[in-house]
Amino acid sequence: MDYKSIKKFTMKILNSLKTLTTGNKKLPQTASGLALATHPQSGTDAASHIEIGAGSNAHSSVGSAAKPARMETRGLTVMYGKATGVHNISIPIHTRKVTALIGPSGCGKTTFLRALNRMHDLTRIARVTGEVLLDGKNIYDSDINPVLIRRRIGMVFQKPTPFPTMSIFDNVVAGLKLVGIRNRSILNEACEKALRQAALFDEVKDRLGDAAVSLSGGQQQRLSIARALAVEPEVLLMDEPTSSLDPQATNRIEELIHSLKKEVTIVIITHNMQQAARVSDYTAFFYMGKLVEMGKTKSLFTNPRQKKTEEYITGRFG
Amino acid sequence: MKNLRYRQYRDRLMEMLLVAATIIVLVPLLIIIVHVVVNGFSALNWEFFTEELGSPSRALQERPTGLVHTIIGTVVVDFLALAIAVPVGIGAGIMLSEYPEHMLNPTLRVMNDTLNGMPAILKGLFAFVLIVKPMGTFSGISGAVALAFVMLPIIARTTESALLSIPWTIREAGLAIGLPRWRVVLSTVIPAAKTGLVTGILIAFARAAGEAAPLLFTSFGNNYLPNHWSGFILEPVDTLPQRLYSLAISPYAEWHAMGWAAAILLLGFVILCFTAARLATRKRFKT
Repeated sequence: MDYKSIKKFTMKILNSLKTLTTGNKKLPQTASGLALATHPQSGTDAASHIEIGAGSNAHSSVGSAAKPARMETRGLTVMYGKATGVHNISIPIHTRKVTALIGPSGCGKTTFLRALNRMHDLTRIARVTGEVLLDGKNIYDSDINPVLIRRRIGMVFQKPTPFPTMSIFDNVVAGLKLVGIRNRSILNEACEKALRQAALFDEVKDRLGDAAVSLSGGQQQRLSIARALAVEPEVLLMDEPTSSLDPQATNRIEELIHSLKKEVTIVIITHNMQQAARVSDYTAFFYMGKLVEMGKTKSLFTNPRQKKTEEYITGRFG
Repeated sequence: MKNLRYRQYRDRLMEMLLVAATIIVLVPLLIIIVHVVVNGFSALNWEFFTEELGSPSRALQERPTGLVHTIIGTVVVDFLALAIAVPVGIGAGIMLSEYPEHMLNPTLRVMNDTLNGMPAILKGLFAFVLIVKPMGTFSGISGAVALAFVMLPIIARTTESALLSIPWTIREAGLAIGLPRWRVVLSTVIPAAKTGLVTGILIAFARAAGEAAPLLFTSFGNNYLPNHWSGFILEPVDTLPQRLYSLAISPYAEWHAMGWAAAILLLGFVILCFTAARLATRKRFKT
């Protein structure tokens, strides 16, 4: 071992110590220990990684605190009983980019997306094989707690899903409040931040105590997004988030996606080719449970390598 | 050819049939209530609520007599049964609806339906073997256990359907923000299903409160107040449906009148519970 590498190593340790202490100093005014664990992108990344149970990752990620999660799938296959949902998908999920999944109905987009944060755990007949790597660690490993995975990989659904008995405020901070964060100022701060991110704050700031179900459909969907953002996920999965919305609300959500990708990696399913072209950086085309091709959105739409892709994006089938 | 007029006519006809069905449901209920109140009202007096029944001679000699021990006994036994049945029943209901992938789920479903269809008197026999035999005496607690077995499958089933009426997407939304499963059920699904849950518990309660058969050889019946309050749990206890039965088959006209009054009480008890629960579960948010 030469001098340089030793110095580098020492610096790394010093740096990580620094991060930890500054993180601790911030404790009183910003967040409790629990809140820290939910802020994986803040200075104290270590906390969340240790919680995930990926012991080997904990060390390395201390040194690279600001580095966001890297995600990819390797040979991911989902079976429903004997039927195959998706077969052998290996794709990278580019960090802080928007990846669009397109393809005709029933091609396995949703199945694939739900495999990315272990939503299939609840379906008895679904069986997932292959790997989903988050920072190099397979989220299907037996020492991984799916609940903690879902804090890092959030999800927004096709239809708005406000919790019906809760107020707007309680909906947004549900992911914090229900795991034991009671500090009012932390919750207020998190609520405002998430609502601003979801471009909903100005519309609801005077009626945060109202029922979430009193909002319009488009507002409810943005509320669902705000709720997912409040736990500060590193990756956000969106399953046709605009399919039940009017053009104006769709527009707002697309703008939202655009501004979000500065901080969050996004995977979005859409049936709308224009939308895929507008919002995404990369596009993956699925057909009959298989990946046909994936590439930069621009080149996939202007110059598809596969005939199937071309036929689909020009509207000849699907 | 079915023209528009014919279809409109048929629509009206169907509507009338539905109204008729509604009336057929309501009329017997009204007849029962009116009949019970007319017959029993004369026997309702102050002493009815403050005196114990005693021997038939009390009524025959027009000495003060009443059903205070029955009223207290009913409340004690029914609520004991409720306390036993609600946690278990809700738990089983949550298992049925929220953990469909669990190994035990299909078995639980079949067993629960079997328990629901089982004659109530068998549940009394079961409680007899389980509690009365080892204790060596009929008791309020054994009656409560028997009634709990009446309530249990109803609560489990209504809990299941109340929870299933909440869209599955709510649960997924909860999981997607990193909440553990039990937390999702507790904080999002159950509050949304609250009205259904309470209604289910009430149906079970009302059903059990009217059962006489399971109590015949468990709480057994008693003409007197116990010497100590624990007697309502550990000694033979009187309950309204069973007292109603024994008053009705007695050979004394005075006791028949008291039987009608007991029926008024039983009806009033059930109606009171329903009203209270409706008030308690008024929606926080208007939807």
